[in-house]
Amino acid sequence: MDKERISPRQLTFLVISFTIGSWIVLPSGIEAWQNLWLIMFLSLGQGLGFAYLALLLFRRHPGKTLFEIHEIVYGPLFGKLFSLLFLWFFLQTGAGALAVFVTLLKTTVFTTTPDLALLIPWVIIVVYGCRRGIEVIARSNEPLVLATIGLIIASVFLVLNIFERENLLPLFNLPLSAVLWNSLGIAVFPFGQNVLFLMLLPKVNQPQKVMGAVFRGMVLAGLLLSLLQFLAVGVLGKVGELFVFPTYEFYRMINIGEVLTRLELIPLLNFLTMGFIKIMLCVYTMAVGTAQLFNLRAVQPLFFPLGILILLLTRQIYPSISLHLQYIKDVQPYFGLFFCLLLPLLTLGMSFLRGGPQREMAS
Amino acid sequence: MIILIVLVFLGLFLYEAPGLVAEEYWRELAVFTLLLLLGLFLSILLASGVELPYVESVWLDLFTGLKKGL
Amino acid sequence: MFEMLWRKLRLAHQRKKTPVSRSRRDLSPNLEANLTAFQEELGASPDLIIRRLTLGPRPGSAGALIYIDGLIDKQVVNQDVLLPLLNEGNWGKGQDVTDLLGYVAQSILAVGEMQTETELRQVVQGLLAGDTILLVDGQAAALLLSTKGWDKRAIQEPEAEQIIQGPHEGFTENLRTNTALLRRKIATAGLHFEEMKLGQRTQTAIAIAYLKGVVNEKLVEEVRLRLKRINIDYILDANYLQEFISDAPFSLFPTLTFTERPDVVAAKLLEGRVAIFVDGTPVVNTVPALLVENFQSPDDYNFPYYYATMIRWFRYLSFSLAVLAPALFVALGSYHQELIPTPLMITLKTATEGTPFPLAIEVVMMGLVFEILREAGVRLARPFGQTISIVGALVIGEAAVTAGLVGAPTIIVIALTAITTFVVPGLLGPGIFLRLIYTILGGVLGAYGILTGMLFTLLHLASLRSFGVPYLAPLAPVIPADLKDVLVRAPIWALRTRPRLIGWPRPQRQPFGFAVDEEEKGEDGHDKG
Repeated sequence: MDKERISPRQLTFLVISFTIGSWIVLPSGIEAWQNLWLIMFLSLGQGLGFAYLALLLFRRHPGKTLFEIHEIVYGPLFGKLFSLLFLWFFLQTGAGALAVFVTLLKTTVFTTTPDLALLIPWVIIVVYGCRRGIEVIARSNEPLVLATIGLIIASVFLVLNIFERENLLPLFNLPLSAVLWNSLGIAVFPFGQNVLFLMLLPKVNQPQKVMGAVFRGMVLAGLLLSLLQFLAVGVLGKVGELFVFPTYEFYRMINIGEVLTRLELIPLLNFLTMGFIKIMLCVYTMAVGTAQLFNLRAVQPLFFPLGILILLLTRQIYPSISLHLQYIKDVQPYFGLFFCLLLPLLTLGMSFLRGGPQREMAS
Repeated sequence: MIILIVLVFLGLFLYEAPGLVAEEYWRELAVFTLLLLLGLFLSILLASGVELPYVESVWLDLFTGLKKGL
Repeated sequence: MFEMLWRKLRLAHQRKKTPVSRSRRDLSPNLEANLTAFQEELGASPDLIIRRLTLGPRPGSAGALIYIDGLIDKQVVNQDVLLPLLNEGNWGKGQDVTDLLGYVAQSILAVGEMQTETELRQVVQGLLAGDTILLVDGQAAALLLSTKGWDKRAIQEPEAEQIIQGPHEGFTENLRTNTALLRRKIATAGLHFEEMKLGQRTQTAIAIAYLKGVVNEKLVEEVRLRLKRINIDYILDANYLQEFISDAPFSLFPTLTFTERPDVVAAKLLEGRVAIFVDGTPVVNTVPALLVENFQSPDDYNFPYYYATMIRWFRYLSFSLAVLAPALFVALGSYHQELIPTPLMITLKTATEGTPFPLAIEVVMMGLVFEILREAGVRLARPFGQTISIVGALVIGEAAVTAGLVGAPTIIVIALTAITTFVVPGLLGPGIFLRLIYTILGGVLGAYGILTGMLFTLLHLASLRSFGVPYLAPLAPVIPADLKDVLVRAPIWALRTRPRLIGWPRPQRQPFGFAVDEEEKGEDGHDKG
């Protein structure tokens, strides 16, 4: 196929933006609100575990995408079935993230703008970026990630005057079961979603550095999210869990000498860029997957239809944000666990069962 | 509205298809057309106000059903 | 779609490029026949001068000197060509000369550069380039004497690229002067020039310059290849080439840089770039081009580094303002009014009270008026300049506000963009386009519209390459080592390495450890920094 290559560092950056993606505006595990920034580390550990399993799969079949591994392990028919499941997973992940961002825009700043007016430019840009290829996505992602990291670190200084240490308490007030459940929720979303990168790993130009790059990205993303949650809790206090979009509310509170106020638009736009990259990756991966599913030689023509599909699905993800919150609480952990842990684990097991080390060279 | 949608999809088809025909990418053309038709079908349904189920409601119902069953 | 169109155009272009059948015609031994041939080729142009003379020891044979008036240095022709030829004392006494032309070339003419040609077209080409032709009856060959000399502009500071400190010379329209200016800057044998003629009718001389050992040989090969592929009727300026060899001909952004300054070209060559000179224009292209080059000025390196860094950041700020100010103004004013502090909001509201148009239309309209004023100011004869400024500033600006057609804040924003646009002259065109697009997007979708526009621009820029080098480097992909000359202008002794993607064949400029140490001034060898 194409000769596009990304460097391990670009992979790290892509992992960061994909992980930060939509979680930053709509955290899962909100009922553990005040402990979220600590639970994050627990989830990070679990997420790294998932990633390690997935990467073992890649190490066993170097130079192969997840879908190609499926066909090798399960044979053509069942392999395609599993791949189809994953296609749906990518589609729903992308559409879900897009829906969250549109809801965010609709409920905060662009209350009167119709959904489609927000969605169509978004999809156009996603399709444009995808058509330019993963190299271009990875390249333009770099400054965006740096800007986001800069913003999150800058917010430490911006909230100095409104940060209340008492807001952090009570800490550790959760039963163990709740801690575990919420940490699992965060481990599958956002960290577990990184299973998507199994489709893109063959494009990394130094395969031996892949594992380090992915881990570094996930740890960095975890640290950033934890830092942001820490600040948000310190600023918003206990009431933070009542907000649907706590990060946005947190930036609204910034007020430095009545001069630097109402800064929420800047972080909002900044996090939108992360969302753009995330959805671009989803569409790109779907196109690569579809191409491999049907043995196509070109990916280019698939971006437009897939972009439209994601646009349409975005409108059919959830009727109201409260239903989405319920979904995150009740269904997402299972759903994510199935795709991020069980299926890769099953594939890994089958791969071992099917016999000895398969040393296939990168195509 | 529906006319507009059809026009948009037709435009996309005309934009992409000639290149595929020229390079004899028949499989690509087939998959592209299929996906595009799927999109067209869905968008016409949505535009004409047909109530489609919401993805996450379906999952929620499924899971609460499963839990009750267990 | 554009790429497809471009590919098709290229294909069509290449298909047409069958070699043009040229009538090959040799000179005849007969002088009269040759002279008639010349007159046929050039017509009865009055600037074609044919001077008949007798050559050789008595009785001598007939000969002719042909040149184009105005293209030759009369002093040279009279003193160094005619005088020796007519001086009978020069001819050996009675000795038998069979190859008269060869003898003349060897022993008589006081001209440095000469060559013998037998083909008519080549001779005519030389004549048109300013050579003097010597023909002798009985020999089917011509002697081309290099006597080029015409009126040319003196070396001046380029008007479009003024600097405060540093060398104040600029290129001229004469290719040879320009290459000499560059040689004066870089006195190393590694500076190579390659010349070729392009343009079917203009036969314009094009020169590629590069620094052997620093430049990437593949880059030179690529430049050669792209130049050779050009099939064009005429070339009058560097831009003619630019549009042919650019990587992204449909992009807003220039993937070649151009300059009129020898010091800039020298610096770029020393970074490992290739320069393309075109005869007849002072503009020199350098490739590969990066976006950040547009924000660098020779003054950055002629002033202390802290000052240069600050100025460079002012430039970034100015360009951002030039592109974004109207869009943000429109977006804030029509979408996000709650984000403006209340006192400012009240001022704005009172100022724009009663204006008939929506903010977006107002801004776009005034922006258009400004662009027209700017264009008029550039094209008009100097004396009209004052009229333009009076009409522009007073009649349109002042009167529009007083009449309540346009709000005063709009005028302020437009004036701000007007000033800031000129800070980065290399991106004037893209800046104007982006400003217009962003303003419209800001008016339609507010900050979200501007964001989508900027992301689109970012993706587009990230997809551009200039001769294989990513256009956004070193920002995307991030190359930390190269940021020393982008985010800041590090002190010269710290600019130790060339840009990674361009000068990689020899990455190091100077050895490590040349930082001036505060305590041990004068001692080097200790690496610092």
